[in-house]
Amino acid sequence: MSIFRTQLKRLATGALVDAELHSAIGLDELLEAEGEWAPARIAVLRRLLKGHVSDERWPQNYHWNWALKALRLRRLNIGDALSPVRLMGMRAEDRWQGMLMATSVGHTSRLEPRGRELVYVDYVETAPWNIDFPDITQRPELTGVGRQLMEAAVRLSRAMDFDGRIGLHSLEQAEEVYRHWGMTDLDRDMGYASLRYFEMSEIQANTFLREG
Amino acid sequence: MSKHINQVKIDFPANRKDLIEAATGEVEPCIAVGGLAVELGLLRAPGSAVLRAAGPPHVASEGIKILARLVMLWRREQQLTVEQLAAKAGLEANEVLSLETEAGVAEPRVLHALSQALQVSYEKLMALAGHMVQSDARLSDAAIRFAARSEPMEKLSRPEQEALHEFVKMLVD
Repeated sequence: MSIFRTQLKRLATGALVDAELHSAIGLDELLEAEGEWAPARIAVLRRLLKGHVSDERWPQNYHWNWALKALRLRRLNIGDALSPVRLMGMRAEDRWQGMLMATSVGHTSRLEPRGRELVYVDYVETAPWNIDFPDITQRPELTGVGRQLMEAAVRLSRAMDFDGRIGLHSLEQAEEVYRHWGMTDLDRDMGYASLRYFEMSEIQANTFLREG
Repeated sequence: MSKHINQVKIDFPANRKDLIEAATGEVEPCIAVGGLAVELGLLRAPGSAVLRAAGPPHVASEGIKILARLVMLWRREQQLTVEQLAAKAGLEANEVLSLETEAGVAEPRVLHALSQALQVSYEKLMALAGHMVQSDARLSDAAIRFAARSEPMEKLSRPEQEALHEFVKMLVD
């Protein structure tokens, strides 16, 4: 599918770095990213352990079993034209800098009027070297990944004629970001491990895309 | 017909400047979501022993049974053989047979082909197969009613009787 040429910012220098947003990728690219990210996650975990950082301040997704994720995505035929999920990724400096997976199946809007179709963000992650970890004095190498991936999800929603509506269940550490981006916090979802469910309406999407 | 998520083109702005400025204007903390992890059973609510998955084993297998019965009854109502239904849907005969005999979980590709042949919702077939979470209670209710009302009751036809007796004879000998 298409590649959107964009830029990220190198935090240390303020310089802009060329990047590509790949709007449809598959399992191979996901595994390639895992190959790049897994060692970096381990390096972060080492520093967290060495720094005696309490575990509630650890990244909440770092203990997940990603082999299970790969198996599930294989079963969903990710990358196939008929797969119910779409994977997108941001690439810069020959490395995957972030990925996002979205689906249009199984979730409808909870904001009024309820029951309308939306794009649901199942998975999003930025590369370990792009995360702000004050506890171990790590600053992000490149910024701008997450917002651009989320913008892609909103634009995908528009392309699906869903008017930009998106939904997601946030991990606790990311809740403030989604509020900051203007999404509505619809409280804890007991059916989803008590994660807070956030939704972006059409009007909020217009604002997020700088059109409102 | 609704659009397919992998077949739509995403339109990005011709002028990238605003997008890049908005994205790089601040340091974003960790962004992460838990949807996929919950569906994989990797997350647990605090103090809870219940895991949520896209297809908890007992729920997914019920859906597969219902899917099997749906396809078989529809095919028989249309007076099609397995081969004829497969040809109509653009599938291999063994793919239809596997689904009707609950030999495994049909792939999204197979379900999409069948949804076109049966002219039903692809998303709902995906939910029955356990590939996706379906939050519509009406589907669950309808599936239960269908399962309860579609248990075979009629007498065997003559060919079915002959096939049964022949098979039983083989099992006895």
